Amino acid sequence: MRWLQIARKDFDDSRRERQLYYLLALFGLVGLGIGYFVGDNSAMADARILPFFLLNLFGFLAPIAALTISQGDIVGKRATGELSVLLSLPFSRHAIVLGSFIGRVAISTAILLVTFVLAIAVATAMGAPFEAGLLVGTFLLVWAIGVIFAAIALGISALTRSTTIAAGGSFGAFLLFVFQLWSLIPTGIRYVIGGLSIPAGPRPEWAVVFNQLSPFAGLRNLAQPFLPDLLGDFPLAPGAVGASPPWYQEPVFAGFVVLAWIVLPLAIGFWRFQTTDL
Amino acid sequence: MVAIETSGLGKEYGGGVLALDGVDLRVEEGEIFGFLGPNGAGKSTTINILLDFVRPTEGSATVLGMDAQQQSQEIRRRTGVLPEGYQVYSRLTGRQHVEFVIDSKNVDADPSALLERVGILEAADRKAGGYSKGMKQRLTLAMALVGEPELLILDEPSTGLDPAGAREIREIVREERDRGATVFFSSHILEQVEAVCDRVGILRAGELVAVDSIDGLREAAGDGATLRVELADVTDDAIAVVEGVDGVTDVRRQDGGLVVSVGNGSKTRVLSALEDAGHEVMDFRTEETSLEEIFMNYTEGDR
Repeated sequence: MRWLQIARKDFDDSRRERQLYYLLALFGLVGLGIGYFVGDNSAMADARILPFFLLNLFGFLAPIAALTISQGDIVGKRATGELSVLLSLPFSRHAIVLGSFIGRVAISTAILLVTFVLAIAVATAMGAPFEAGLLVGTFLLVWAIGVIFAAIALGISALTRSTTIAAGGSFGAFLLFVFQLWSLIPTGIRYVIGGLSIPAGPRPEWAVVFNQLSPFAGLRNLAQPFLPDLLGDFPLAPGAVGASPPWYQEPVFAGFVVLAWIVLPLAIGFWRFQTTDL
Repeated sequence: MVAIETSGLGKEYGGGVLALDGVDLRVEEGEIFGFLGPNGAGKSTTINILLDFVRPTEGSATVLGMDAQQQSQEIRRRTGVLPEGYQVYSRLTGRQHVEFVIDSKNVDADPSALLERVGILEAADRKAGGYSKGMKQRLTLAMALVGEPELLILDEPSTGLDPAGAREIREIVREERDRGATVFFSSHILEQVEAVCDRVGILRAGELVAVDSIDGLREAAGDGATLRVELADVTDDAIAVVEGVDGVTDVRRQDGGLVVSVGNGSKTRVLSALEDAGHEVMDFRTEETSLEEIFMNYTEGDR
């Protein structure tokens, strides 16, 4: 359980990071704003309104928070010499990557919890309807988004020794998934293999499958059966899930996609971190 | 038993920078070994390989009989390390630092006793961010001492300490040796090593150029004598005359006189050669070669 010591230290140390307070303040304000807005329009009296706003705003903001707090973690510890200290104690490099990841997830969880509690408290106090199941589902979904992006950013942070590359890589991940450059990749490939001409006709299956492999699509496909009302139109994931989804939108397959987005970035980062000089 | 052994250890960093070249080092259990060399000679690279921060490109290293790469975690469990240029956690107290090490090594130890031993008990519950440089170094030493490790690796332990502090560290190093620990102690300052080490190794530009006891080094540096000659008039011709004498290894001009490094038996020949050439010798005296000069001989110039 050495990684737990690292995780606790990582979490405790984060209290020094000023950007964390800005992030917490920003999220708290957005949460209050959503709560107030939904409460003020409680005449709409639909329990889906609050989760809808929470999901769509924090689906967008949670990646920013997770990337921001995670991208500099390991590479920063390397730059300040803290890694040498930790590694002169009997910690394995494995424990450092895993512990840092858990620590960062704990921080992102804390921020999201505060935000959701504020939003829900304000909205219900002002008379908006409250449906616990929907709200918990929404929280878990947003939380999972945070976990995935923390894994991606931490993987990059373990991969490189340059803080600039780590920051740039995380920004790239943001563009790729949140701005959905991901779904342009199949189009690009078709453009190239089609002899540099604009692809015409229906998209081949591989292109459709590829689109469903993005982290947001994976999460949406995984959560769709549980939150059908909420995810009918989820702007961060391409397409929609029909009544009888194809294999690549089945929850089990989507579960593996989500898991892969957490495990693979960490595994690649760790593999590099394990073999490199400090 | 052998505490540290390297054979043919080499490290080439990217871009062809050769930091270590064929280092064969053997540190016996229970000794204080001084690892000397100017900055950039490869001392830190060697220590980093022993702790598996850096992977060698040639050769191998064992610590406490274990492979430095394969069994690094076990090595670090049984070793106390004072890393170079350590940054403390400014938000944590001195006591919390020591407690973190105690937890990580899963040992029973009394933080107060350790902090008292390094002389910062009264600051134990203050945040380490407010410590002076010397106090931070003492704290780091306390962290290295946690759990009575079999091996202590101290990288430039006297950094930031005043002479009294450096003396206290040497005292602790001796106590640790007497308890049975091996101490591997790097420094670029000879006098810190001289006073406490059983043996020293001198590293220069990535190569181990000498390993010996202090006395052995003195002997190896020739018959260890320096002749100081006061002349009425120091001229280039006088220097040339002295350089021409058999057994003279070095001549330097210093404060209106000459400092001549000679082997035994050549001293009188130097004096008579000077007088024969018409230089007036006002005074002379011989001195034992200082270790500083031996060190300089090993680490500078061409060998």
